[in-house]
Amino acid sequence: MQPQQASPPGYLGQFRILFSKEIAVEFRSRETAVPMAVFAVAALIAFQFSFDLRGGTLNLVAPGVLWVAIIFASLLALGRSFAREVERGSLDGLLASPIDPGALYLAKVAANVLMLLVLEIVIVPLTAVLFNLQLFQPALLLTLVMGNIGIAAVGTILASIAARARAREALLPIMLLPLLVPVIISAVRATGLAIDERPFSEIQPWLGVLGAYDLAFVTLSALIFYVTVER
Amino acid sequence: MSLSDRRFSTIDIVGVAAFAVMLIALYLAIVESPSERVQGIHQKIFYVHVPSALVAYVSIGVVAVGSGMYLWKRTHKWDRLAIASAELGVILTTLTLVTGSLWGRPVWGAWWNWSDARLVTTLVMWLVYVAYLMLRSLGERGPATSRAAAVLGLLGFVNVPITYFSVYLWTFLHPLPTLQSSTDRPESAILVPFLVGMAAFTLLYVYLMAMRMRLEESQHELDDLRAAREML
Repeated sequence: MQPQQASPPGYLGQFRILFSKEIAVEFRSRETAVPMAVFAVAALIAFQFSFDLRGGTLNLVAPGVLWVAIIFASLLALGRSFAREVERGSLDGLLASPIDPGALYLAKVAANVLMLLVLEIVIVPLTAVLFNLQLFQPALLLTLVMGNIGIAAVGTILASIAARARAREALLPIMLLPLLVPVIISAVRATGLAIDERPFSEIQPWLGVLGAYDLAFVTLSALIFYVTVER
Repeated sequence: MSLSDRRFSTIDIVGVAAFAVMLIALYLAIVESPSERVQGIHQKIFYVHVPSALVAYVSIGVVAVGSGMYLWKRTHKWDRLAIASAELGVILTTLTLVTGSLWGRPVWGAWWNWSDARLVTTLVMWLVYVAYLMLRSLGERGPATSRAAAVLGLLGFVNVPITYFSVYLWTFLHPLPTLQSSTDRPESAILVPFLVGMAAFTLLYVYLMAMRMRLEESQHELDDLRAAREML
């Protein structure tokens, strides 16, 4: 062991540094959050004319419309989060530094959760206004956060796999969408119940599924992420 | 091992046994087994459907074992186990979905039922392992793709129970009529053809696994030889 002047940051310190790096890159390039939001708005308009969201089916269809828009838009952020590193060769630099790959993974997940939240800050009020829905429910906020964690947890590790393969734009959604089925089911149900202003006890089982999903995939992915970036 | 000095090996015996037992299973299912009272002749597809489904689930478990062991030990044989089992898993799951659909049409009155957790989970599982094969075919042959596939193999496996539970919960909150089945023949008349079918599909799986893993091994050797020639 060589003597060290300053002790390197621990896991949490690494996470903090890597997370602020992700935010700084996004803040300077603005290549993720803005295109995501514009895409999601365009998707909402497409859904309106596909399903005619004016009638009595609105409360049934709106949660699905919202989540499909979020998940499709998330593909843009997830794809960029590693493709950008591979294109610029910065991933090799990151991996050459003494960081824990688990901290890198968690920082990317946190950044992607934040991107999704920014997207939702735009799209959820817009959905409420355009379709005259009661979307401002505490249970919905919880559903959005937990859904975001699930999408980001699985999406981030799959994006790191897809970034090195041919046809990565096609490969990411092909791998991600079937794995997200539990998130889609429970987030859409929880959102629907929240819109109908049902008691929290009815929403709870769905939040339980989301919580179990988030916990299982964040833990498993943080543990095995290093194999996707090793040389 | 070269092909020329191959003798009659254990694998060949398994192959012959798989063929023979499959013929017996088909005979028992088509000729010997009774027609079920309510479903009639349609129920007989279960002698193919259930064994293929069970062996499909086992093969997905084998993919997870191969994936986990590959990431731990990093020996190529575990990777071979995973890829061979994933391919067979996709084929068996396809067979399961098709035979289930063929049964569902006359008995349920519909090819598909979105409220059945097993159906939906099997479809999702099928998609995950189709994605697994796509990842394998789109990536370059080598350890990076093997590691990536192993990660997907593990994620896909963890996803199965969560998917099942969420579809179950979804159905539970939207109940639909379930099928009541009954027979007036002794259970052994159904059990024996079923067990023989199970044996046939298990033998077929073992045989095809061995063949596919041998093919993968040869492919690996060929890759090494090509790489060695490039070096010269």
